[in-house]
Amino acid sequence: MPFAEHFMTSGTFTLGSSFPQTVNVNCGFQPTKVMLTDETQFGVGSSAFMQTAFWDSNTPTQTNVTYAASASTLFNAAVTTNGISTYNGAAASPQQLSLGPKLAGSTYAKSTGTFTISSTASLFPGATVLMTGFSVDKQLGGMLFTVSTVASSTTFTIANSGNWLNTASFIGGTQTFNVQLVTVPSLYFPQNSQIVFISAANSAVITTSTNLGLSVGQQVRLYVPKAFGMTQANFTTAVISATSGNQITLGGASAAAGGGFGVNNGLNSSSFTTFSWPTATGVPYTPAYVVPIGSGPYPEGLGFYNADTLQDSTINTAFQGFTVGSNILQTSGTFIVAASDVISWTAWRGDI
Amino acid sequence: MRETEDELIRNMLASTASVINCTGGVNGDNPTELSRSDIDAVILALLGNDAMMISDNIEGTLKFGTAPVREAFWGMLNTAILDDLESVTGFISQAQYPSNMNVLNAEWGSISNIRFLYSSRGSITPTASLNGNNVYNIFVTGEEAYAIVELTSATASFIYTPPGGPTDPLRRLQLGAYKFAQVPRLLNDAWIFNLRATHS
Repeated sequence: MPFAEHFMTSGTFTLGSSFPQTVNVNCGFQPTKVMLTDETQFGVGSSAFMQTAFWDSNTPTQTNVTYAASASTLFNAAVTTNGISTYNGAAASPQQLSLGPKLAGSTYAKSTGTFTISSTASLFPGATVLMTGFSVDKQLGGMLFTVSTVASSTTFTIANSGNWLNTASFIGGTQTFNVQLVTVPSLYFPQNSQIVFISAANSAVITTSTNLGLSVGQQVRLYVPKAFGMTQANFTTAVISATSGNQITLGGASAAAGGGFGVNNGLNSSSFTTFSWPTATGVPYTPAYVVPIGSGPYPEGLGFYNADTLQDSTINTAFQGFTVGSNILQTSGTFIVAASDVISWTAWRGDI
Repeated sequence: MRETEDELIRNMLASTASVINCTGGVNGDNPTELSRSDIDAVILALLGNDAMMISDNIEGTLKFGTAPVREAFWGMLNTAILDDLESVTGFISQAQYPSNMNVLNAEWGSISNIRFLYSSRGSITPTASLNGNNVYNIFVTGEEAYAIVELTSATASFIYTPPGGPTDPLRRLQLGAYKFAQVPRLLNDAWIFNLRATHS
């Protein structure tokens, strides 16, 4: 006997500036029908802008798109990969991640952080990928990375901030490895993340392999094993004063200067031993980690600080909804969208 | 419902607990399979961070085949690597404990200062090792490392609606469901470690 459920809900989202992109929409349930309208481009003729997109569970692998051929004419397109699909944030349980199929890699350039794989069709900027099975640079095996750009149909880049990959610890070049898209991430946020580089500076800048999504004022603890050299940073705590992509800055302007990050809550690593990766012969190893531990001390008036480590407590970020894939939200192809477009959506769930 | 509560706590620990990779094994992966040096490393790390042990020691008695059990931290792991656990030097099966008074149903045994609990729902990160094998997350915890704010007394309920409700005049539909509110949270990240291991 089917369980009777009837839901309909709607909302909007605004596209970012990196394309192609994928958006996961939280509608509270796994829909059986989804309708999208590009509100910004609706009625704009002859530019191949998407007008509407329709998906339902009767043909779950196909999304039907209408796009503008002229001011008064619409064309149709059927998208059969990376279109609209249901998203189940609980799918990662009991395992901690849900992963896409393995994509075989053949080479990477350590100077640019550019990886060559069989196909980048399922990847998009901001996606998280798991890399395994490196035949040469084994240190990278088992690491999660945030995709920075999708440069071509077979190449993508990861953030190489601080040029951490372009060191003697890594060989680069031709080697085999596998890349898997993380389709459903860890349930909880904030989560720990692997450190790839720590600058020797005041204030120290921490570069992680994935975008952490942390914010200014949160407190973190660093775990830096001996294999990474900068042992002075191990087990230190500090407060985030700035964030940018996969980097966080620990400390900064003093309270007297109005910054509030100068009193024993930053990290001055300028005299520390250089952070350096072990070579492939150093595998197995324990990675360097940054762990969010709550809200750091924050200024309440001149010279006074308050701290509540139960603020910023761990949040279950899992949700159910639908995914609008990279073959819909694209700026090149049969039809297109544009940065900052407002997409309205309506999702239904009938009896299933 | 209780199983879901446990799974949410498990997932919180997997997302946020500090990490130590097993490196003392010989399977050529990263992390390796569990070894005695990895057990020692996590115990030393917890002791170095002033974590307190959870269970008291079990004194030795005059029974053949038994051995005293030290006071211990608790470790929680997936059943898939119990064979590796048994292979670690110094493993004492719970059947060899001098007394069964304080043994939990899910307890498999102890090594040094860690007593291990097993579950088929133990945490796994799929294909996440160097060689693409499953990584098993073994949470080794001291006292008060994490907490769960239980709101169950106010909100948890199992709901059963029999056939014949207001919208079911033909008495065809019934409903079973549960709801609860709960917040798991690390209290001190220095008192718990995720000891990551692969299978041998």
